[in-house]
Amino acid sequence: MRAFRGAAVVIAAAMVLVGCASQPEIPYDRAAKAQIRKIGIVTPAFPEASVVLLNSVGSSFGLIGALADAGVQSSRDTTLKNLMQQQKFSAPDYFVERLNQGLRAAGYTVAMVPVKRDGSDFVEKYPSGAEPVDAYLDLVTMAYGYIANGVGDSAPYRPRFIVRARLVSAKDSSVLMQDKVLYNPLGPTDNTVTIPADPALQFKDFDALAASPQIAVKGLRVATEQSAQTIAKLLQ
Amino acid sequence: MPSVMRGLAAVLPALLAACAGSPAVPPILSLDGRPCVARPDLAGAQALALDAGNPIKLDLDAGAACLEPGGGGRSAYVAFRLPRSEQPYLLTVTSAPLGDTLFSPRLMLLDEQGNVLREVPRDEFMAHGVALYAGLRAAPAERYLIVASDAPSVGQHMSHIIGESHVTPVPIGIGGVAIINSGSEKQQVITYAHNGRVTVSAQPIPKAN
Repeated sequence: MRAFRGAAVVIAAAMVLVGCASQPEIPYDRAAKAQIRKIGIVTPAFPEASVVLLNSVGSSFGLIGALADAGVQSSRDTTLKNLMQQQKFSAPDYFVERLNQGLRAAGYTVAMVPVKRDGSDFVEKYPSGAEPVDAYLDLVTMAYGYIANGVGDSAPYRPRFIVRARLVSAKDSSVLMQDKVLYNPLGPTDNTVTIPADPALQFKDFDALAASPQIAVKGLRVATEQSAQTIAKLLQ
Repeated sequence: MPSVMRGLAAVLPALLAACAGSPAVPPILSLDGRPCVARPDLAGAQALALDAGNPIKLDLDAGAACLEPGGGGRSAYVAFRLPRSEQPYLLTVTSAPLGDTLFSPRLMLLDEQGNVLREVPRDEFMAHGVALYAGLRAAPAERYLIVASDAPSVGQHMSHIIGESHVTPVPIGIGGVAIINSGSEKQQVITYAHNGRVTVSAQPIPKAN
């Protein structure tokens, strides 16, 4: 049952990725930048960390293979989560911290806008909180963790981070910027800003990753930080 | 050989050819000896339509025009006449690799008289995989777009990881075939150059979602 649930999650995640592939990129409205001094970072959407193996042997054997793969993935996901807890690493906290720093460096004042999210899409209506802001920065992290393109030395595990970002005017709800950022691109990159993975932070297989928790978390830190910096750059 | 295998053997080369990347083109790293002008020639600018379905894709090669402003380096360039619009619109420029050669782009936006209103330097282009991309909101007063090569970055190299998926038919039993999926990676070393492939498009600013 657990494996079946895992397979369903994998299929759903794939559908989400395909569905978002065609979302248009909207460059920052720099004409409006003079009016945007204070940005409210809406509580980002974050899934659980995951370990993805593309082109697995199991994918060659239909549903039975998919179920077997899902069982392996579920176990690896748990290992990665435990590893992050041991290293006291929270990707959502680190992402917000680095993004906050990047936006301040770009000249903005930053406030947090707490939101309880429903689902994994942009927020439909932003709260009119006690602290007024000029624009809301809405962030939906689609996936993060590790990914390998296959089995063997020629396809190592590397960190990945995928996040959608949208800046919405508080005054008239117009979309001032929208984009998607992908750390470690392996597949199609339409409408997506990509960041190449650091080749120094990779593992020949998952066992090697699990045996080096400090380096594994360092890889996640780098992926998270560079994704946050790229979003800040899109708003410069 | 079972008929299924014969069929796959016949189709596979065509499939591989269809999936093959763009043709190899040697990078042009110097514009020495090429006649250059101090100001871009706007008379021959290609008209760009305000229509996402009508992008202009072109290859800058050894015959591309050369720009050498006073005190500046030499650049290969191409000029576009921008569409008339009362509203700002989305202008996108993508430099995609030709083999391992990638045009290293920078942009200039000019008014009707050819005065430079805005420049987009090379480092404002974002990576889209191996390609370089810039999206900007063009203003009605911006009437010409110059896509020029960025001389300081020409000759530099960038290494990219390319993910590959493989499908291998394996015969099982008599006439049966199992399809085995596998994946691997390869490194592609790109050279930034004065030549390459550029795609330019103009469209209304898309609505979110």
